Amino acid sequence: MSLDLSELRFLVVDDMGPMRTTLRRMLSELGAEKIDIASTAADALQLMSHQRYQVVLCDYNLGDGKDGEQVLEEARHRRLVPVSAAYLMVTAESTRPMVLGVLEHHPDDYLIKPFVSEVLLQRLQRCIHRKQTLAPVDEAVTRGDYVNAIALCDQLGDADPRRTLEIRRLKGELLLKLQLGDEAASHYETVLEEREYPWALYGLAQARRHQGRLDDARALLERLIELHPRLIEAYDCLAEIHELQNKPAQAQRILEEAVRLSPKSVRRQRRFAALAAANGELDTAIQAFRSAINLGKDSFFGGGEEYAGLAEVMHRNGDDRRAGSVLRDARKRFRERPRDMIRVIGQQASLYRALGQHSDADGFVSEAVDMAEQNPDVLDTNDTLALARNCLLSDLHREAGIAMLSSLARNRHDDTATMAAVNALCREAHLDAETRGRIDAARQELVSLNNRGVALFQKGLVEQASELFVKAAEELPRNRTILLNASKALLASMRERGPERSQLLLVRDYLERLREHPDPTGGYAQSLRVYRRLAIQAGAA
Amino acid sequence: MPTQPPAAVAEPLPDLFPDLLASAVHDAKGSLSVVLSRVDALEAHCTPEAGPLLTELRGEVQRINHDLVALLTWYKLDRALYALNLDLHAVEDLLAEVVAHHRHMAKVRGIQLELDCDASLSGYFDFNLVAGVLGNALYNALRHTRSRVRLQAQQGRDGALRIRVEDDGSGYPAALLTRRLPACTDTDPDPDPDPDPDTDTDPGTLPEAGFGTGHTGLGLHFAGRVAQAHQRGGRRGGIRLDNPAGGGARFSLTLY
Repeated sequence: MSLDLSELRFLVVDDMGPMRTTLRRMLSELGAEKIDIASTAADALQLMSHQRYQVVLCDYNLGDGKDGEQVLEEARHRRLVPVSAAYLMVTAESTRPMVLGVLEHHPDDYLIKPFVSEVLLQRLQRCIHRKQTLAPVDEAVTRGDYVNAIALCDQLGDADPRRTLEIRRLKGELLLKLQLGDEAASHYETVLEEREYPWALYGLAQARRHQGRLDDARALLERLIELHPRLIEAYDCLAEIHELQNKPAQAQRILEEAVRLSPKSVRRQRRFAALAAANGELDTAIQAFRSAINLGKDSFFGGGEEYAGLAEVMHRNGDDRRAGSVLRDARKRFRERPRDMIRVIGQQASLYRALGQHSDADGFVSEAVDMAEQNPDVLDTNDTLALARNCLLSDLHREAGIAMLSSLARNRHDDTATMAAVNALCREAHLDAETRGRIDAARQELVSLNNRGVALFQKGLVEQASELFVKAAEELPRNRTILLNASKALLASMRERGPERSQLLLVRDYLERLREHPDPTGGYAQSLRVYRRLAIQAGAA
Repeated sequence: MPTQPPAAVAEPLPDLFPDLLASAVHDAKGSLSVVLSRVDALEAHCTPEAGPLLTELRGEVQRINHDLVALLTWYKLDRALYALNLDLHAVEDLLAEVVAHHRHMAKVRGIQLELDCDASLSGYFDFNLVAGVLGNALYNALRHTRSRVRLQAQQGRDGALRIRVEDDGSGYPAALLTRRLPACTDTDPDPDPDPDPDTDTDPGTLPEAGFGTGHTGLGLHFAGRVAQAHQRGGRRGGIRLDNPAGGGARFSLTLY
């Protein structure tokens, strides 16, 4: 298998001069002509944002700041490298970690230095060939078209024996992504008959979880950890299972082990801290939040949550001075990030409210409300609830808080958890019957809208029903009932008239959003089935 | 109101050795990279006669590098600090890389390298670890062989992957063959003229002298550990050294 390197654009990233020179020389000798060099993570990302590279050779150690993996993470997240690009990490150790998720962003290969140019060529050839074979699937995955990605996996099948295992692994993950628990379970069961592949044990555990078989999921994960004690994802998943089974202390113990094995993940430290805080272990929580903050400084995933979390725990610990100072630091850091700012400012409001300094608290609430108005789409449900709470506790902003609750009541009218939180807030803020009536009216308005659409549908006026629901979905992009009905209406329309690209894309979008909700009635699963048939018919959605 | 500081909790001292070891190895490898690149640069300034010397230098650098990697990885394996990275690979890719690392050395010594492996043969193993083990074996073979080294791979009837490195030198010294080595339960009726009578299922122990004599002991111990870590259905892999009836030395690696 010979490869013409002259057409490919290479990026070499290394903080050591001699290594940069060596790599450039090797690549030239192998026939490469387009070679760019970067000596820092920042330069690399900068170059990647201006050029499309087909191959990136990046050292794991890049001096201070981001390391090679963090560069990759950010580059893939921000789509700075095409999905078909080969990303090779150059490292001094042979410890390429085994990772369980292939859909996430990992290097395509690890090269251990020093190496001779023939080895570099062989690795490049294998990498590029692999990427080419999997290109159609990778592209479908990047588009979010998991349905066709699965179909392509089936098509590729056993054509190339080198890729067989990988394709089965990928298919399993795609089935899980679509929340097809039963299909995923039987897929992994078949694979496990061959060998106890760690990713298959993990995949089956996830599938069991979807199926609600939590004890089975737990047993699988415990087996996985016994076989491979350093697979971090297994611990994460096991901790979640414990939480689902209402065993927060157990969950914390497992996460603690995971954090000990892999202390550098911001998100894990943050989760661990939150769990410790909820379990009342304040010192542990403080330490973990602090770790998350320190790690967050170099990571794409650092955010305001850990600062807010730390301040809250410090307040509970009686250390209000430090809590305030932490939040002030956070403000400086997140000046340009509205969502994090709103969270931090909200925490400031809570802190001052708890200390009885109401006018200061009100000031912060004003600030947060203004920022939320200027940045309407940054807040999710929990952010909105938190902000609404702050508003309701402030005399000046009750109306704003009520408006937020009304909007939540419309957007999430059928989500029991959110409605329970809304009701709890109404009680906490001692809202009178009239006010609660207003919030309920917002909810009712939505119910009526939905009923109108359903009536049209039942009369066979599918086009009009579709129009109504599509419009509603635009306005209420997180409402499960509307999303489901919009999907059903469009799918019914396409069943009559045949698949139509723009409609398929809409349905795909709705189904994706629906995945964040539980599916007690099986509506999502049913719509997905119909969508799959149509999407495959259409070839690509 | 100021709070009391938490009561001092006696925490166990963190085990720093893995980090120190990793750090030292990393630095050493960095230096080795520099040495290698300087050797390359030297080549341009040297007379042609110096060629073989430079090649030898390169070979030794690679050797030191392999030893460092082996040391670090073995330590981690031993203490369950390393997560084996198992995946499906074409065995011919593995052998190609091992050969690529040592092609220079073979060429300079005028040794013929032979590969015997089906293009369709694949295995489930940790590529870097196994390449390290085979590289070690190949290096030793190149040092002791007369004219040829053969790398052969096949799948056993019990599903095991068997890879052999054979040379036509004077064979292993008797002292080496009487060591107990990490082995496997070998039920595959491979055509094997003289099976090693000393293989057993206990993990090998290294005689005191072994460590003192340098890297050979380390290499074998590392190889055994890596092989053992490749298991399936209760069977563990292993290594075996023997001097086949036809002459020379044979290093066998079995993986499940």
